[in-house]
Amino acid sequence: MSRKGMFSDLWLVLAVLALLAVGLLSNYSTSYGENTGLFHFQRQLFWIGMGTGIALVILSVPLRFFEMTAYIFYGLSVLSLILVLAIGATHKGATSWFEIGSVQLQPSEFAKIATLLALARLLAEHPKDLDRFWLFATACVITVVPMGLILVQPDLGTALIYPVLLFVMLLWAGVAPLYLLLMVMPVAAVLTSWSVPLHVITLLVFGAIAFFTVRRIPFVGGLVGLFLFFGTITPKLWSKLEPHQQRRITTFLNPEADPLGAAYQLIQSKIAIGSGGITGKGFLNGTQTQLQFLPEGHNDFVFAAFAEEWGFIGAVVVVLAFLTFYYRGVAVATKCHASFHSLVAIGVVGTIIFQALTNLLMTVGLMPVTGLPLPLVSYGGSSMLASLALLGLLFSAALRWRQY
Amino acid sequence: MNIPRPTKPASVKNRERFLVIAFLFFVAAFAARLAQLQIFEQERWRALADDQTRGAKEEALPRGEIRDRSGHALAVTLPLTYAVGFRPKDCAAKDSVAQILTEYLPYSYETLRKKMDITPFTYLSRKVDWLKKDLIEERRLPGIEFYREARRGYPEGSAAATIVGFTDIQGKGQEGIELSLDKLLHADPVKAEFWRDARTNTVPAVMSSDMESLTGVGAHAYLTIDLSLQRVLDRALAQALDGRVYEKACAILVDPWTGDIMALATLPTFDPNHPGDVSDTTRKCWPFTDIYDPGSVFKIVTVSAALQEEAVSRSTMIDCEGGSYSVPGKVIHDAHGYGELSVDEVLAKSSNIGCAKIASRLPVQTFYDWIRKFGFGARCDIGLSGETAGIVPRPDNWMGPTRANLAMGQGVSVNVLQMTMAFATIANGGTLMQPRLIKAIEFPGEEVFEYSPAPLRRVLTPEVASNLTQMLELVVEEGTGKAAKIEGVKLAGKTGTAQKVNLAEKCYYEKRFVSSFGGFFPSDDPKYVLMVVVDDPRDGGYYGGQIAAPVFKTVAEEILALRFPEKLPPPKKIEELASKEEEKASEIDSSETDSAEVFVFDSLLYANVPKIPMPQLSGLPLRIAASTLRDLGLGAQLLGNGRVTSQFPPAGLLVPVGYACEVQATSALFAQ
Repeated sequence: MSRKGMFSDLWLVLAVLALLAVGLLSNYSTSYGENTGLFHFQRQLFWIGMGTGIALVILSVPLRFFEMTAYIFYGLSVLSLILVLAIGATHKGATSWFEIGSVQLQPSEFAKIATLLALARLLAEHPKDLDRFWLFATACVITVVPMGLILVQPDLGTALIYPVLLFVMLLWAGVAPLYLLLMVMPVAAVLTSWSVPLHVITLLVFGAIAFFTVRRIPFVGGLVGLFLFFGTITPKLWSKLEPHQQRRITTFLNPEADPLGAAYQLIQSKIAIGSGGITGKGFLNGTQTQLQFLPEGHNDFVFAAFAEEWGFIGAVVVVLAFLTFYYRGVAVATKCHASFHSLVAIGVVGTIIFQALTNLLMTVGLMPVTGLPLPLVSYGGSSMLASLALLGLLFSAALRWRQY
Repeated sequence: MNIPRPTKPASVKNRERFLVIAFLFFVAAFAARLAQLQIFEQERWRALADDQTRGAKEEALPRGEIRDRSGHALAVTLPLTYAVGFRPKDCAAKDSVAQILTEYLPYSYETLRKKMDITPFTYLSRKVDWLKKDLIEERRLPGIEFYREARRGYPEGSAAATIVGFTDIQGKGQEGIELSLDKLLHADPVKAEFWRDARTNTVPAVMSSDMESLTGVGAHAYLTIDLSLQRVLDRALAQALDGRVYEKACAILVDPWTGDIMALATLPTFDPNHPGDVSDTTRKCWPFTDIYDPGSVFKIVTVSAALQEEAVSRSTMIDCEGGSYSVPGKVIHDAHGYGELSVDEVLAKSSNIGCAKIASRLPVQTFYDWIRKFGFGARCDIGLSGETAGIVPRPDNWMGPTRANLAMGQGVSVNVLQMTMAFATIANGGTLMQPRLIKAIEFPGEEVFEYSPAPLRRVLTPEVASNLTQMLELVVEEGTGKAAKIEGVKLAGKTGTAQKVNLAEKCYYEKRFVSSFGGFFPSDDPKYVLMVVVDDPRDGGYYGGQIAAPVFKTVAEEILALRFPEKLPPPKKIEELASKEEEKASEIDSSETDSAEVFVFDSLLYANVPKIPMPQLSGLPLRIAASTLRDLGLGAQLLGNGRVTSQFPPAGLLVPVGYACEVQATSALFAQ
């Protein structure tokens, strides 16, 4: 390992340590006023210790081992997702947990890793077939199976990670732009169908991108047709929905329409963050956090709790940590010689950064309330173990970047 | 040394760039939003946060108590009821809250629901009992707030009622000490700030109050009134005048050495718990606020002046003209015709002619100065509002008969207190004391400001004072005051019978009188000055010697029996007196029980609660009192420290189990 490589990995480690510290401080603060004592804080410490252990084990195992066993892991995780639907415990309306004693495990977190490895192996094994439809279709199937099982739980937030993971890895592997557009354009069509001008502008933008990247008129025409199909069918499907179903969806996309439910969380989050000001209210002095106005202050809205007590300055530290993580993470993916290593690295970065962005944007009201935790910061055993296991894979790729 | 690696095609480079740009786009959006929330809009969000987490309410502190000299409560604040308030802002489910409240409040659903729309705050109900309040509080209804409603109570009922006074329904002083010390007794509402958590429970309150100012702090007032003497005076006066017809009567007891007003009884009396039952003339402290012509009792001033000026001596013989004597503009009469009398005899027989002649030996200005020296014509400033200064005509305005009139106490207007203080001056050897009614003010935090006894001036030399004492003893021994005589105890006093002033017609009533007797006892070692005034007695004569003197005797006997039984001769009827003693010993309990009629527990509310008799806690250390109550299953609200000086409810009253009793303790400072 060169000195430069060591140096850049040090930045990666520092960013991770900073995020873990932010999480511990926040958990200490949120559990401070509770009558359970420092229960959450202590559990968080325990999970970090355990996750670090797992990461070190992963780091010591050759990455090639994970490439060889990727499909086995994948199969096991799909089985566990089926199993959890049958015998899992239900919390907050989602059957997502295995309860082993007092410990709760979320198989969807580990299925994420297994899917990542499976996709990386698939794409790395067939560099010649990247433009072929069968590879794209296989990758889609690999992604959709666990995603579908998670949607059944239902855990919409976690399920959202899968298409993003697929998109990032396809992009990184270098599949034909047609496939990427095939993924993106229907989503864009559905999301913009409520406004005709926006819909038209989006169509023009994507049409132009398709024209310049795909360059084959029949395909471009097909993409535009697909876009228009989804755009016209969405309002019709919408009107077929029962009002309460409509409400559920509008609330998801626009939480402020539901002042007592999701909007309550969002408004409380904004109050906590905003009232923190530039320098914050001080450690353990956040009124919204300590007086329990902020819901899920140790979990989904941990960033709001932190930003209330540490202010804009603290929030910027969190953003800088994720920014550093992103840059150094992409650097690792870029310098890896082996495609599998590179794809694993970009998958890890993509997963963690996507979750982070979704969570952070949610807390400030720029994204729907999805219930995704902030990786490395939020309280939660499965999330912490999964994130640290992912980091184990990333550091493993960083250590073994010379391997072909 | 670079290891050769496959170079990525340009399109892949573009994809990397795309990822970076997409990421930076979101990060930039997030950072901008953060800046918006935390920097540009922070005031707005902070206001919203404060709105949620901070609450404040005005907490009414109890009005200060009025107590007697040893701390027995005369006027207390009873926090028995609550006002139920509602703040619509804090309540999202008004309908269900209104529905629940109909179970507790005597209003219909519609009425309550309507009231709940009044922003920002409204009272849903007042005078809600503590039990109901507890029940409502348990439901933890959003938006509901409770405020203690102070109710003024006078546990001693009519005792010293005219001095204590009373308050209106808002708790503002209307008469007596309640009025004159209103600003001190009154407690301004204290703004209590608290944190509210998401479940609307209040977290530790932060009290912020302005304790710097001296008004509106709910200070306690200690009067010089001695409750046990007050009770004796009340009862004795009522007994002595029982069955008599008169307009009004009063008796005032003063300590001649300190000027302390120990007791003041007025008849007809009233209960300050129900001030509306009687008219204003009964409720006001008329012995201090109303003037009357003192009549013959004023002769002590005339004789004192002449003796001190050495215009006469005790043995100087005065020709009393056989009962009829002309002065310029008037013919003076005596009740009985006398010939030559010594000054001693003039006073003893209360000869008008003799006094007029004695006064004529004094220059006009000198006589006037003497009247003023005794304190007449100036307010006593004892701390009650409406006190009168009386009227002493200025020498410039004196006409033919004025000096003779003044000499016998006509044509001068005084109040009862001024007259009493003149007797006190003789009793204590010649010093006019500042009469004292307010003994001390106790500010919150147990800081006590005490008023010390204050001599105003020396009026008489001790020799003259002692001569006068002997002369006044003669009045009782062989003069007009024989009816006041008590076997074995030396008594000094003077009768007075004055024509009653018709204020409307500005003249004297023909056949209406004010009969009085002032004096002090035991005269060889004066302890108390007592003045009895009966206004307009209608039957059984009207002379002070006939009407007021026997009352004086009854009252003085009872007071001596209570405080100095050894000064009384061994009574002939031992049993009778012994039973009286017992009566006095049990007095406190019985009278407290009687006055408890005022406080009637809501019978419906307590119908199913077992009742137990309230224990006597007076004198117990507060700690013991608290555990006594706890053992009995009663709640306790403890105030002050030291030994228990007052309690509510009074001993013996049946109280429902669980009732929060009020126990007031006072530190040793005021315990006697």
